[in-house]
Amino acid sequence: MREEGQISAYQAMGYQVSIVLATAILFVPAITAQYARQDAWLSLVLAYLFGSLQVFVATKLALKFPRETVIQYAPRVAGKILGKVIGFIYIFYFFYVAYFVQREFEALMSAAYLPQTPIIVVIIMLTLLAAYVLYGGLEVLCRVNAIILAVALFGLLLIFLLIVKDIEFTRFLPFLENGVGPVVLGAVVPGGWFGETAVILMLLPFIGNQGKTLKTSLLAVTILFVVMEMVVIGAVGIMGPNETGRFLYPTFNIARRVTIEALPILERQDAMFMMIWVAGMLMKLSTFFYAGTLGLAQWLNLRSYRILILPAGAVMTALGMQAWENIVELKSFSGEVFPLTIIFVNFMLTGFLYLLTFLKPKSLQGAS
Amino acid sequence: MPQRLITALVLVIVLLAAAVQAGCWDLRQAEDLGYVMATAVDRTPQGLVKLLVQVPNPRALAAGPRGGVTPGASISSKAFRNYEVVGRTIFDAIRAAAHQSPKRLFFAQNRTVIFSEDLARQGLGDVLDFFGRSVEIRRRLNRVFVAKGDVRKILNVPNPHGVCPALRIDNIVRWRGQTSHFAAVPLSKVLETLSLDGQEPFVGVIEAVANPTATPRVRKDLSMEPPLTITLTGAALFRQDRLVGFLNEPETRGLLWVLNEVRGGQLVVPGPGGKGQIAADIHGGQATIKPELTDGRIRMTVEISVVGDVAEAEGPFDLSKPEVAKEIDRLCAAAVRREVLAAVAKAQEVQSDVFGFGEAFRRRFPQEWKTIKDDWPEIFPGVEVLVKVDAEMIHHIGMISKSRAISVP
Repeated sequence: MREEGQISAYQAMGYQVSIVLATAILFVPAITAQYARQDAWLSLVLAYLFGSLQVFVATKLALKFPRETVIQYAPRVAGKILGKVIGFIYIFYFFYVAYFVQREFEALMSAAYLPQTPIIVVIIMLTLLAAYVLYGGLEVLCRVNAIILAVALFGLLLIFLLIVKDIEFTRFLPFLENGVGPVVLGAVVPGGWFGETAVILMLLPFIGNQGKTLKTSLLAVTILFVVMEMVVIGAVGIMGPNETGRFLYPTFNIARRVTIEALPILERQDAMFMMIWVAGMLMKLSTFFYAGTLGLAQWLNLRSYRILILPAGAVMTALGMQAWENIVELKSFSGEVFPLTIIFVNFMLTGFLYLLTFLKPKSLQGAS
Repeated sequence: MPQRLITALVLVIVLLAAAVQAGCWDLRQAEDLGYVMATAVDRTPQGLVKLLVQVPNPRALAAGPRGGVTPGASISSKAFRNYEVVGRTIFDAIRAAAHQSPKRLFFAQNRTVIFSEDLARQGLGDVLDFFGRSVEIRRRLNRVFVAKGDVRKILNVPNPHGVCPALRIDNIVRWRGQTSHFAAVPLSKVLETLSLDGQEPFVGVIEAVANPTATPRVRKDLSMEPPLTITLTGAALFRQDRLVGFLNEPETRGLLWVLNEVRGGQLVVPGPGGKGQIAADIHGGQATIKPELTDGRIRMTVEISVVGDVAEAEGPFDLSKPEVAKEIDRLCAAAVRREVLAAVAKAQEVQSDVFGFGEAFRRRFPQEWKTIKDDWPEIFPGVEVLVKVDAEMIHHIGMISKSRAISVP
């Protein structure tokens, strides 16, 4: 199946940024600060290297099959049965993160803004909106994403500029207080999150100027790294590592604590943060939802993925609703289980396929 | 069914749904909320939480300052209402207030949190959880104080400027740089400091003192001076979450010097040559703490640079002479140093490291810190503190150079 439409490498980059951004800025600072404490910024550097490696391998693999997605060529590379299984793991991974995103969205919305609203309502609203984006197709998704991403990155930068005066750099001392162990542990979670940019495996066949893809993919991780550093340096520099680790949503909190005594009108930037974040979550859900639905359609050899949007969305929502009882489970899951599973898919599985292409060069022939 | 009919039907359903669903579960109208501006917490002898919340009356506030001060005026013109309720926890007490308040109490605009001295001495730990956890409470915008005396009285002091006491406190805090003689610590700072091993929290102190210009209450006198006035003064020192002592006003500024939080203030020193006196206007200061470790002895060197102007020179001084200026710099530096040393002495006496010397030590000597951090409250009083001040007070000297020096002995 060929998805109609074509996107540019830079649009794919926007897709890759959005697929990580919205949940990473909310959850990662607390998790990283719990392990690495004041060296959380250094953990991010490690995570950046790891993320770059993942997206490098994924892009290299994808570029070997410029006309197909990973779901289509996996059976040729890994053998019919194993290839289908690997394809299914990828598809499940996309839906799995998508329903995780639904619940993360609900977690902050109902904690901070809509405590009385049943969580299913909050989730269905976002999912229907994402389904609408999916009906528009990849081109529409990427264009919407470009607008939202521009606003979101600018807004985050603005919030950062408003709080930068409150950052105390002494909070980052002493350097490496407990050795490198905690720093490496702290890098696992953001490293896993950065690895989500491996979604290029699903996007590559629709990119027009594929020559630039490697560059733009690495650029996507770099943009994410810069944004994450902003958020982590802001959170740890203002609140200290102990408090950052204690918070469920430290980024939300630093947006709330913007204070400029001479200009009280700039206080309480939570509305701005919320605008950025809700839009970002819509894109995050849409990107995973799209990748999953497209993959499923290709796995089933359907002509179009559109027929799958509503059923897949419904199943996804049902899975999301039953997967976690409450925020406590969600939080411990996001710190302990989730990063390992996504690293398994984005790094191990992708790396495995990449190695196989060297062992079975014949599999490349169908590609061109 | 033809496609067009289906489309029309769907459209009608959507429009109908929109009409009945206008709003959301969590709709809260602004006029249904009671905006709490100040929250005071005390403990009853039975160990229950006693909570006092101040809710302004927007109608009276908008009508101008007459409402709050007039004892004979009708009750509806009072600018605020204080609700006092008792509960087992803070949240319990807040909900108990719902029996009395016609509006849902809403804490997002709260800016002042006051703890009674008794409660602070018993420990804030239990009650602080609510303030850290609640999504309505803005940690950075709330300032924490300890009340000396009855908080009911404090939060009911009338005044034509800033009719509602909560708003008045907030504005006094805004101008704290006029003296830097009292602490105004954000709730966020208190919570963050509590999570550190090498630093203890401190908060401001609030008090209602006699108003020397008070006039006796005469019936129907709308312009009487109130008998009391709210004042912010000094700082309260904590060890962990327990109040252990107070700093007076100069000592508080001594503390704020070390923490880089002096925004300004007045400094009165004897004039050069011991005659007359000089009042300087501080513009700000910059401090660094340098920990040293020699043969197991811990020493803290605090280096402060102060900038300011001469605001008053009572005495026969010629400020246009550079040597006089140098002398004034030296005298001001000595005065700042005395303030800091007084604060250090008081803090060491009550074993409360509000300066964060422990944290400074941890940053410089992380390995050594691990061995002493549990004993830090016992070590801190023995730490030698050196204070070096460099003052530059002659940026401007006002409009005249030479003082007139009449009648100065």
